[in-house]
Amino acid sequence: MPTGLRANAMQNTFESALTWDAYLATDPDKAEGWRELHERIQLTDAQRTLLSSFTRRMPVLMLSGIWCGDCVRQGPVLQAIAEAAPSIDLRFIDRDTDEDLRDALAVNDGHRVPVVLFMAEDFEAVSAMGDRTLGYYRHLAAKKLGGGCPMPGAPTADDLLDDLVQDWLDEFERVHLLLRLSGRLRAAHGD
Amino acid sequence: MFMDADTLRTAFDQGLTYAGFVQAGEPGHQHQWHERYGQLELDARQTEVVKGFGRTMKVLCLTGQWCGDCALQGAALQRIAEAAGERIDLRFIPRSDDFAELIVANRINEGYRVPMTWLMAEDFHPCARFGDRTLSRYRSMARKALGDAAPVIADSPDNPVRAVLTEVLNEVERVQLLLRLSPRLCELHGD
Repeated sequence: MPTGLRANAMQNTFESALTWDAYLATDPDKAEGWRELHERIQLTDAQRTLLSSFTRRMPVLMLSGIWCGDCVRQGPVLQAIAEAAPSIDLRFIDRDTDEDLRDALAVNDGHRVPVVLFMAEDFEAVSAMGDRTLGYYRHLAAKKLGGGCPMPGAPTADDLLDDLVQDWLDEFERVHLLLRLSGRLRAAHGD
Repeated sequence: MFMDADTLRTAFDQGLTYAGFVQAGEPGHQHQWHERYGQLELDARQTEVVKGFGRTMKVLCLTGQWCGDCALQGAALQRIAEAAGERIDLRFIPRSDDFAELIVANRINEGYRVPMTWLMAEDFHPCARFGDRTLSRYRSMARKALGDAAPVIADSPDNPVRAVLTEVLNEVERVQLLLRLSPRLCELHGD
């Protein structure tokens, strides 16, 4: 019977997960691609202003594979967002480290990565997003399905990286506002 | 995601169509659903996107007849499902004891929030869990609740109701592309 993600279990998993530097240190060869993309990411002034205004602590956990191309493209985006928001605590964990979590976050009968779990400060689950964003899927569909693409209204992204940043940022902002307006957290913080 | 296919299938089979769900509500609650439905006809571009869907999706919305955000997202989902024809099979279930297992396992920020929508493959394997509110709704709420202190930079949408339709459709499109490009489904359907 499904029981959902329990906060105490999520706290243990989160605390065993790795920061950006520690995660990349687990495989220096594969880490090069992550670092190269990270250096290319430039948030706009508006994006930085928004992220610096976040006030609720948000633990964010990325189920990842350091070998995974989709993780290489999206993990650095998450890291760039977290670096601009002191309230975001981002950790990375290999997909197969916690089988219960992996199974709970399965997508379309597969253990896909990346999947990103957003939590409240006390590790209550809020949302999960993955494996790819809409902008990323539109880009892939245009590439793989070409003229036969069954999504005639879907625009092709001129710059995939910009789309990835904005897609992920939108979910960070949504979750932050959910937490900022949460009755129980406003009572806890008196704001 | 967050739930197994068997539990979702069982809940789906007990669910009601949009018309059946609205009709089952108290008369005083039905008006808001009818009003939102009237405001959310898809435009030409949105219709083109939905008509291009190539995979069958099961969509299950956990909701409350009394809830304004549920009426908004529920009507948006119904409009999208109507345009998609056989490609989207949509059901609604109430936040009641009949679905306690599903509800308890899917708390958001320690609360039993609605609306919550599961977007599934044709065989009920979950691909995404969407909810409770969309980003545009949270921005609007933050402006009202926090005034100048709201951590919101984006401009208000010209039409807040239709902004939610766009957000719901974006998530449906994302999952549709996930399914269209899914290796297991491409193999199954030979495409």
